Amino acid sequence: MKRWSLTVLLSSVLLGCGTVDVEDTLLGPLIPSDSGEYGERFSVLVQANAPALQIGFVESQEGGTLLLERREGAFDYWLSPEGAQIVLQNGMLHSTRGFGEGLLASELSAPLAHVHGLRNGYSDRFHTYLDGNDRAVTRTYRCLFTRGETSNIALHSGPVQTVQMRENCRSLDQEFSNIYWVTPGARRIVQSRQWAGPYIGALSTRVVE
Amino acid sequence: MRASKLFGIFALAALGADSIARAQTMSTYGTPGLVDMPTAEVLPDGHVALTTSMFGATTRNTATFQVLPKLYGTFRYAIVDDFDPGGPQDGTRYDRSFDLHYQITDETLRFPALAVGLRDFGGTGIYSGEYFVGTKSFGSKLKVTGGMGWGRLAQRGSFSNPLGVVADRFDTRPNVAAGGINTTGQLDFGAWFRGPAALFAGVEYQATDRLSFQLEYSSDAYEREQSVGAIDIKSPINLGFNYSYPSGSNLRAFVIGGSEVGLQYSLILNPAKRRAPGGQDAAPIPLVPRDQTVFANHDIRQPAQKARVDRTLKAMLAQEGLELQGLTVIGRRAQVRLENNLWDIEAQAAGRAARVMAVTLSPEVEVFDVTFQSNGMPISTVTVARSDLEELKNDYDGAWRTLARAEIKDAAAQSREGELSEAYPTFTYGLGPYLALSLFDPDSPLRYDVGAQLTADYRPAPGLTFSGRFRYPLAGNMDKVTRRSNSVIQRVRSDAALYAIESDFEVNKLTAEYMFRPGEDLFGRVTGGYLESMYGGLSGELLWYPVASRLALGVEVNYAKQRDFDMLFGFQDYDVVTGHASAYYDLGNGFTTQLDVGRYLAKDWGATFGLDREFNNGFKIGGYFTLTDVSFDDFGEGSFDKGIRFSVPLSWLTGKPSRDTVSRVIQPVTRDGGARLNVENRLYNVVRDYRADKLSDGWGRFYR
Repeated sequence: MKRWSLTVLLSSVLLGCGTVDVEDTLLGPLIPSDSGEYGERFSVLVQANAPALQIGFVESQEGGTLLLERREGAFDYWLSPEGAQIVLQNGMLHSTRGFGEGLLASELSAPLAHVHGLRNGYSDRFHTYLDGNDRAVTRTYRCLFTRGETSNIALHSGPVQTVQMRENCRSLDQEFSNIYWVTPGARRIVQSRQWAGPYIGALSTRVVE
Repeated sequence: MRASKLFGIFALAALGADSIARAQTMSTYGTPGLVDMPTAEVLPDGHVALTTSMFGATTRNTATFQVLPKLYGTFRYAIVDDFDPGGPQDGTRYDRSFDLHYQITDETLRFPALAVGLRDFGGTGIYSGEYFVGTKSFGSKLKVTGGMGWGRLAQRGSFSNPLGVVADRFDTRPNVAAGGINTTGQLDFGAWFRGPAALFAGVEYQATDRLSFQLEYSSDAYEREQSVGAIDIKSPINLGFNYSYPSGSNLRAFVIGGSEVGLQYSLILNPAKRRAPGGQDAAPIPLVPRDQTVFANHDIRQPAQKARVDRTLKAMLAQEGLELQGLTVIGRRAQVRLENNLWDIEAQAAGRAARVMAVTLSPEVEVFDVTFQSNGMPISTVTVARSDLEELKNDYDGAWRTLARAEIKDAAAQSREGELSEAYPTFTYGLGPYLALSLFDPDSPLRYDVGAQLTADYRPAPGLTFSGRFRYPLAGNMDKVTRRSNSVIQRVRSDAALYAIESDFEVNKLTAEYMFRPGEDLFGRVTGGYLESMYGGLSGELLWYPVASRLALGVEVNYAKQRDFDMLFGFQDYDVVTGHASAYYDLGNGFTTQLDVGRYLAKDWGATFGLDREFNNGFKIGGYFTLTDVSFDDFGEGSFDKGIRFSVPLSWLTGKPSRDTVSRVIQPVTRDGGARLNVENRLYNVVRDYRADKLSDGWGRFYR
């Protein structure tokens, strides 16, 4: 008994190994229903019929709807029911808050120029991450843009013609690919698959309109 | 320690596993090794390994901490049944031991890694042994280890000590256990690398990413365990099969001596890595242009507006876990005085407060002063320009650029100007469970009490707090202790069992405390009442701590009287004037040190030296020792007071902000020499979180 009582701690360790659910769901249901279930900030947006954005986490296969809390210049602040947030800069992922990933901010002027010009070629992007020890660490990625095929994307309002722009990025120890579906006229990103960071991996976005 | 903290410990284990270090095999002694034998390997810097291994009559529970890139330290609690036939505790030996291992050189293309180590260098000596060892990799799958051991590691195939050529004294090994229990805890300098030596060797083969095999020739013959029939050793060959889980856990089966089958579990944690690096806490409020703030069209400096502004700001700060206590707006400068009840990274609290000010206050306010207070006592002020927030909020280097432009100053002036009318008095209370633990009682190594706890705090004015904590144990075995103190000096701590036995409803603490600022960089505290579970009295402290200084100095004087064992309102006869002069120094790279010199509870004079490694995220591991004029003999088992300690932020475990920590001091033995009063709110710990070093360290989270 003595022996076992002391090893309870490490036994529980044993049971605890493997994956850990940090939250049952990262996001609420696809269409927000009862505003009473959500945080106050989100409830206000539900009541105000704020614009929506569908997002999905590629690795965890979870997804949901975010609502636009604020639009300021090129930056859109999208809020989840639980109070997490992604910030898009002209549709490109700039930062995340509350999803566990430490993407504090990005410098995206060069890649945005490629997307909005529908131009092939190389560019640099900079991501600043919290590293788990609360230090902000900036990483630089070299990226190659390739213009892809033209296709129609089905939005709620109907099909929209888009040009696919693929961005393959690498640093010394990381690599990822982003895909943007861009309207050829307004050069607007209406759908995307973008890498947020090593913790949550890639996420997909699609405007709801 | 609350029950939630126990769950926290379990969660720590489950959440904190680090996949990077999964390939490292741990020996049954809980250190990098093969089966029983050490290798020259080390853990990655700062990592912690928790291991439990069980075979035959032996269980070893071990914690190893990679203190420096080349140095690890280990604490082990072993239980060996039938080790002392006919002895106390049914013949079971409970053994606490410490190891040190230093990697002299890292492995190179041609040469192996070399290391030297001490096992059980200050315990009862049952595992006492030293070694030199080398380990070399051949390809990515095979590692070969060879070494020479002394002491326990020279029980098989021994030969005369080659160090004997240096000096004759190396030829014989004194019996470190000859002095009995009273010599435990002393460093066995005189025995290290003495006496016969023996060779050991082994290989490790990494069959797959997950599975590895270990084969070793062991120089440990388990002489004592064999002689008493606690183990059956038939062969010098030990075998191990290790499986690494993706989570960083290692499960292992092994065979010792050809006949004893054992099981082992190891978990390797990286404290410098939160499970969720960005955290799960809600996003901050987006900034708005100045003409869209809540009070964009109001002159908030008008007295008539103050109540409205106070109310709005208070509500919005409360949503961020910050309690507004005062607001002043003078010219283009606004100051909030607040208490941070939520954020363990104080820079994040500063960022949240500044954001709330930016979305609330009228456009002409340009400078934000965020003053952090604790129990109403102002500590430090963080000053940021509103235009810097606006300019840098989405900058990819925004955090560091903001820090470069911010100011962190001492907040000495204890003015009550602008204080919210409802700021005082305050009354808070809490009712919840508590958990009290006692480790290493040979009759029951884990003793505990769980019960209900009521806490109440009344603060009529800034800094002045009346505080109570009351407990009622509902279950546990603390009061089942039959062992009594055998201390030959004043029993100032070793009667802990009597407190558990004779108490029921317990006034754990009942104090009046006043914290104040006697001047710039100076902090004061006076506490009176039932200061802790065993002592009541009066405590006074003064701390000098400049805002950007690595050095802080303090002095504390207490009059303490021993409380009755029933932990109600009575006192025993013993009283003492005790106190210390303290120096605190931040060594850099996460290391902090503390030296306390003074008089302890048993009226003994001496000093305590403490060293901690604190990670930027608040995870802290350290140790201390105390030497006083109580002789080793009079001190008793352990010879002098020492311990290891850790503190794990709850946020590290959960990803959600919290100022709670899971903390514990582990003393191998609790005796009466070198014992200190446990008064709460010692100033250094209250102040340090808000001084420039700590605020800067956490600044990466300013915009989080």
